[in-house]
Amino acid sequence: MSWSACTRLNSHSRGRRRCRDRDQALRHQISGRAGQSVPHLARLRESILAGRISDRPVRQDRRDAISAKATTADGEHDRPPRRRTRTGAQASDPDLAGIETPELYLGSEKNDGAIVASQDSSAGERSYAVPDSVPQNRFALEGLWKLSGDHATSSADGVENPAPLQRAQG
Amino acid sequence: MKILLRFNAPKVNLVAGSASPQTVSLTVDGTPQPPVTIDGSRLYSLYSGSRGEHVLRVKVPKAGLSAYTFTFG
Repeated sequence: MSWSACTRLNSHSRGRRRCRDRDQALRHQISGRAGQSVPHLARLRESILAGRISDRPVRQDRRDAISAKATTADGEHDRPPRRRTRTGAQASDPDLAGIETPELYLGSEKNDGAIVASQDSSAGERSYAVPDSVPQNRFALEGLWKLSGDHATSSADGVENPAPLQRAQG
Repeated sequence: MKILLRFNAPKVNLVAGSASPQTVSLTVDGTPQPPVTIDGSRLYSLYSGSRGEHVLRVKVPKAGLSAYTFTFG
């Protein structure tokens, strides 16, 4: 709106308000780094104050930038301190002190070194006899078992020491 | 059928499953433990006791029990 138009509209109440806004905009004109006037920033400020700018979703690269800021110099993320119990031990840390045996797999693919040396560790179905002793961190099977890749399956219903078959006396 | 295990830990678990539910009986160092019923494939707690070396015996009454892994805690 030009100044002459402002003058023409001055008699009208709405025109007076527009001219007053124009005066305020000129008084608070925002300049850029090079000293040039940036009038659209004033409009932007008004839009923000009026709530006309939508809440657009934050772009992924912006999220990454925020995440990168949260990373400290040594690459560790800033995290809140872990919760501690009354005794001072960290709540999420299990008590590993008493565990001397690693996990043991029964299947044929990973049971090497877990099943006793005297028993066959390969895949297949066979009858196992209990060894005289079982070393620490090892297991032994007794009875009919079928070894597969990742598990061992019991194969006979509770028959531990099957009695030899006897022919019926005729 | 049995599984014998000599371990050194205060807790023993077994990843196992069974085609039909069955209850396995347990002894640790010769002492009977509460029986455990195996049905779906998941982690079962077999023993929770003192630290040190122990011998676990798992007696399996029926065919169809699949044992995958012993884990310790």
